[in-house]
Amino acid sequence: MKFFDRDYSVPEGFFPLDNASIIYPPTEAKYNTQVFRMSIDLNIPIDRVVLHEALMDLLERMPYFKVRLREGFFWYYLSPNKKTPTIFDDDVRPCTRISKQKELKNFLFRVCAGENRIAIDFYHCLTDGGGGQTFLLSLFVRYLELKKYEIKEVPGIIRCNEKIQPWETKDQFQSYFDRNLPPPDFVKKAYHYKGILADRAYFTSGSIEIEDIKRISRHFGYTITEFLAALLIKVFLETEGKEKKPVQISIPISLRKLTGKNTMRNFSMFVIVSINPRLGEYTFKEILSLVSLQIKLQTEKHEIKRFISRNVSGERNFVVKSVPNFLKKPFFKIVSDVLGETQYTTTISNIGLVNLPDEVSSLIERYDFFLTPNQKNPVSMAVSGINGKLFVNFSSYLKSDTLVEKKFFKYLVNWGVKVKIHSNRR
Amino acid sequence: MPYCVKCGVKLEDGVDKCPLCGTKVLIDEKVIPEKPFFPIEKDEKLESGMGKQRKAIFEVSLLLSIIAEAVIALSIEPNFVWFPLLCVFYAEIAFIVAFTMPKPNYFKIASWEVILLMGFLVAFDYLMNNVMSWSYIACISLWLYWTVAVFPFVLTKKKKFMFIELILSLLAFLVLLDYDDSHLSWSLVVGFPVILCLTILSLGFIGLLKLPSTPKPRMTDYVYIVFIIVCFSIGFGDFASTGYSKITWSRAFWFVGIGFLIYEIVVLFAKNIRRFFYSENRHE
Repeated sequence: MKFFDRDYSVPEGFFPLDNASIIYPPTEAKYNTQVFRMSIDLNIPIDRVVLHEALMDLLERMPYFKVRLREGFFWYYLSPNKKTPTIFDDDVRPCTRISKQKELKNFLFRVCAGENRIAIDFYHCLTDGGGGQTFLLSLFVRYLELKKYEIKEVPGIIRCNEKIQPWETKDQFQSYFDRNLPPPDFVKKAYHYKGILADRAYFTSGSIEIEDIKRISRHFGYTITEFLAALLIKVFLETEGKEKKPVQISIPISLRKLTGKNTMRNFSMFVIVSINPRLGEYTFKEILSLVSLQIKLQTEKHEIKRFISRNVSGERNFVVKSVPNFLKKPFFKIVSDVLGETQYTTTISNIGLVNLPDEVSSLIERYDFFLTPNQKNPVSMAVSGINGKLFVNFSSYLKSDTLVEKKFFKYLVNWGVKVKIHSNRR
Repeated sequence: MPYCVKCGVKLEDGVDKCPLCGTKVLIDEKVIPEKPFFPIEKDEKLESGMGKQRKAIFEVSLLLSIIAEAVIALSIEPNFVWFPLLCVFYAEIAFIVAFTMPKPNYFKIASWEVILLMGFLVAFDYLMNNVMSWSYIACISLWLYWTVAVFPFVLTKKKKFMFIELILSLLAFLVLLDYDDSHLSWSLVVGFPVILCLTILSLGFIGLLKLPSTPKPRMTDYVYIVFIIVCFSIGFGDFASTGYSKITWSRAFWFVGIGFLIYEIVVLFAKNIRRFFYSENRHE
């Protein structure tokens, strides 16, 4: 059996990181926490004891989450973690660094429980938004089962009474590698929004009725993601002064639906949509049409394969494989800068509308998703939705600058969308 | 539910200002504040450590220095290898200290670099001669640099204390230099009187410039005053070295000093002459 096709359902010795995760541990730093948060606010109180029991049951069912990160001679890897995770109070700032917190007992996720909230911070080398959503909802369903709620079938959830499947731990990137494909076209340097950075992240959450957003995006004739991405581009174009560099938005796209393959590990690609202000003034409709076109072009199956092959070929390169990890680490940081952060102005990640059966969704009031930005691109946006509500969550490392968030929400308000704001800027 | 009148967004109950634009919001005291969506952090943990780019530069420089040390150790004869090894080691440590310092400022970085340079010079001297010889003077000079050009930066609000500290550090420098041969000679006979002259002249000029009748001094005034103080101090040193009996080689310094002193006093107090020499106000 080839190395990359090995089945790692039950980690015994070591468990390799998937292709997307390789870049995360060496590049984790201040302003680069690589942590995202998913949380659900309920209309029932949370029993922490039962929640802990549900977590233990789920980790028994998903042993690939009960791991710790270790540094090997050539690569980072995951190995089983025999400790018991703690459930934290809901007084931890979202997306705080996971690697630095000793209380986490080397786990790569942090479960926080409030009076009515379950929040999980995930380290990106463990999973992506799709995997994180499945874990959170599976945890919630297990919690409800332990609380004697009758839960019938819930699509997209992993139940504790089911057997572990090989697809859950498979690195799906490997199956799309084709060494004969040329690399993707080089992406130009993007415009970067600058400001004074704080030593912490700030979050601004806007709750919007889905019908309002659907009305506007239908009026323009595009999807919600395309509409929000275009609006964000418009805002950044307005903030750009004389610089006139292209405004490029990175949009993570889950490859699960596009390829029909599922996994609990990372399996997404980044689409970069670009608008170059040097070509002249763009109307909002023109921006929308370009965003939609670029997303369609880059998510075409051949382009997906090309994107994946570029990334996997880096991992399989003889020189990269042979060089020890301590020599690779600084160069991974430089590569992630040149091939990553320099290429986009901001990130907008839309996890989509969560569809759950009524017996489960009726208990959920909010479903939130938070990203962390980075030093070069200090503002990012995450979108999620449930029960007729859309939650647009901005994350920012800027000390007092809220221009991007203000302009974005003001546009929505001017189009007749009612927005309610929550923020931890006090 | 409160609204922001500028942004048009709804706000949480109990919030006193809009988080987007900072516009104040009138709080209705009858309304019970909503539980904040973002919890109040019990312990506001600030991000610490280095950013990704700085970490990359740090790791690359560390790697390069390790490689350089290895190449040096393998390629140079054992008798002569210590000098380049020491130099590369010092350079790397100095870079790491300056680059990785949290919340760096001039005082912190300069202080650490002075300490490291002293250590390097002492090690170099000791390895070369098996005993501390010239590095003693080098270290004292570095210490003087620190007391004159680094430490005063923490005393910017305490100018009197800064002045006293400068004078004392000059005195201490002379004494330590003189003590190299284990007994004090010239520092007591010449050094102390020169510093005393310098102090008296400085205080005198500071008092003069603070008089209400004295116009606001310009940069050239400061330059000339410093020049006068230096000339007189040197001349006084010569006078003190002869047991206060005669002036030998420093006549020129005395003449120049007196000349500039007369000029400066005239320019400070005679407005017409001042106007003549300072062309900016010639047309007032």
